[in-house]
Amino acid sequence: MRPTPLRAPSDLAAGATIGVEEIATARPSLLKRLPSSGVAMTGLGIILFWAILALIAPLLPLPSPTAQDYLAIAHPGPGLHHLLGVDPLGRDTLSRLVWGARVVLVVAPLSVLVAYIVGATMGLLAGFYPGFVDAVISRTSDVILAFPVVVLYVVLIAAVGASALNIVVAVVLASAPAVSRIVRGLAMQLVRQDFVAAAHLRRETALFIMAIEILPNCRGPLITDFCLRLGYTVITIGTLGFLGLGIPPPSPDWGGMVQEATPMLTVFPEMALFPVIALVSLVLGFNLLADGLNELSRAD
Amino acid sequence: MPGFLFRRSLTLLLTLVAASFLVFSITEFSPSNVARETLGAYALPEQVHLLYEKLQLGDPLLVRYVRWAGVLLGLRKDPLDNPALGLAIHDPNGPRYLGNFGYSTLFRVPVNQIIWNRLGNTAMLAGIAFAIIVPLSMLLGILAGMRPGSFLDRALSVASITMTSMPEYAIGVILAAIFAVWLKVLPGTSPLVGGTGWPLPSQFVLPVAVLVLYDSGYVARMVRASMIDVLNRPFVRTAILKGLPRRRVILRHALRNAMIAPFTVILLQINWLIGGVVVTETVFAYPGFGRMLLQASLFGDIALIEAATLVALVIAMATQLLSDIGYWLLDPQART
Repeated sequence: MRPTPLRAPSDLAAGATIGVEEIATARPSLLKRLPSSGVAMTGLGIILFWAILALIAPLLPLPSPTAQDYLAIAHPGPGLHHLLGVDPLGRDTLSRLVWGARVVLVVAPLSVLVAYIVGATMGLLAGFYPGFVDAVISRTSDVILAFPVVVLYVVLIAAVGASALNIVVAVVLASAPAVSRIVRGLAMQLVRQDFVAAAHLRRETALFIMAIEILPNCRGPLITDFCLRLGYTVITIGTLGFLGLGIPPPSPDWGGMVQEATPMLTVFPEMALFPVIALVSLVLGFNLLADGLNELSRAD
Repeated sequence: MPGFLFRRSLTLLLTLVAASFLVFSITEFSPSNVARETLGAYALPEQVHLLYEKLQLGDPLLVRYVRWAGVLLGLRKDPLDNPALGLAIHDPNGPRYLGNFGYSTLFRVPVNQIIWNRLGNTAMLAGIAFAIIVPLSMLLGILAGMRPGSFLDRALSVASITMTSMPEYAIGVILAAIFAVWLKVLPGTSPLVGGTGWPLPSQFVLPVAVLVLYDSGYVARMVRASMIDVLNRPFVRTAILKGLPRRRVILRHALRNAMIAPFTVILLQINWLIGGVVVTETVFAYPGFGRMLLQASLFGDIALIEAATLVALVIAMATQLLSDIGYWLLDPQART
């Protein structure tokens, strides 16, 4: 049977049940068996493509992503000087795509990582201390999860101003409660297991049990969710850029590029289509990787 | 109604109060900012300071929140609706009534005069989209779930993962490039006014298409998963072994049970659609609720941001409650 569909990371948070038995017996070689999944490898390939381009961006023979070529504005389409054409301000599209990959591939993983550190801590505490601690953490999460996500992002970024740091903060605030819910659910099942009882008997500290005994056993579903959330965060960063709330200009931002090119859509549609293709391909990469990993972890 | 639904409503109400406090803290955290945004970009520092004093913005956040909630509930007068301030802010409903969201500095009218009109436009857009998404995705999901591994099933799965990797604005730009720019058969913007050369109904096609494409694949896969799950249950096998025709097994036995899990998903899509319309309306310049929220946020229209967020929250929570009630009605096992 194929895996159940996953879209927004909140699916897992919404209570998709993951049997603890599956997790507890998961072999540690999930990443080693990755090459056996064509879907996952395709996804990984797309991600690596962008990652390598982003890494070697300064070495590529490209114009600066902020340099304006005024002569090219008259004929902004793809050509010899500018392989993918220029944007309405005469800046090289290919160069902005490559440098934009740098921005998104730093901001997205960073914000998801911080969201995971915060969310996993919250979830572990809530799962380990049922009662008051759990109630406080869970009710707080409920409040944030009650918001339509895009509305929360718009209101937050509009209030604190658009910057890379504020986007990270907003993603953490919006995603940490969802991560916390997943970890809490897993932790609540795991604390009843024998190996946790054994750790209690050995008089291990609570911190040791949470970090060494429980957390590593949550990794199966978390790895999948991490990839899905990465893809979703790439969408979010792009959406904020498109709405005019993203990383401020002139720094190259894929969503912002689409926004700047949309008024020219009737004349030069490719101006908007190139950044759209870049963004969709990267998100697709993360989603394929997540799908493949999900399939592998279910095969255990 | 059982006690559980009563408790659930109470929890949701408390969550709403907490969420409204969160919204208030985000938008009005910096009090001098509140005075400055209210007066606009050309106000002198002295004027900002004067309004700051008049509105007692130096008070603690919690005190200001209680005051704000008092205005909303009609217990207090809106402090801005005062001729002595000389701001020319006047609400025809009077300064004190239940549901007073204050005055929009962007549209220069009371919030209530703008927000319901925009919400109506969005309800129309989302309603049409929803009326297509639900039957379409149920049909696709049921057909795919009846024969896992078939061509339709595989096609659905590929289409679904592709569409969920596309942000709404990407779908919007691609559709507009194809149908408005290249084929020139549909309008690329949907301002809902005549005189653009396009009849009003045609202006709905592309925004609705974006929402449908964005959402259907996901819901269809949920229905499919649930259908497969139910068809593997013992009672379906019994029905088949009893010799019932396949059509009857699926229509009478499997369908109702297969709809329980997706029902919640479908209702929660309304929450998802609220976010989706913000982007879709912006792409097509549709005069709706989501675009209004974005405009208010970019402009710094505090009263309108608070009102719109609160309304979005109420809608999201109402659908949560509805999905709980529906779950209770559909699944007898939940009625214990």
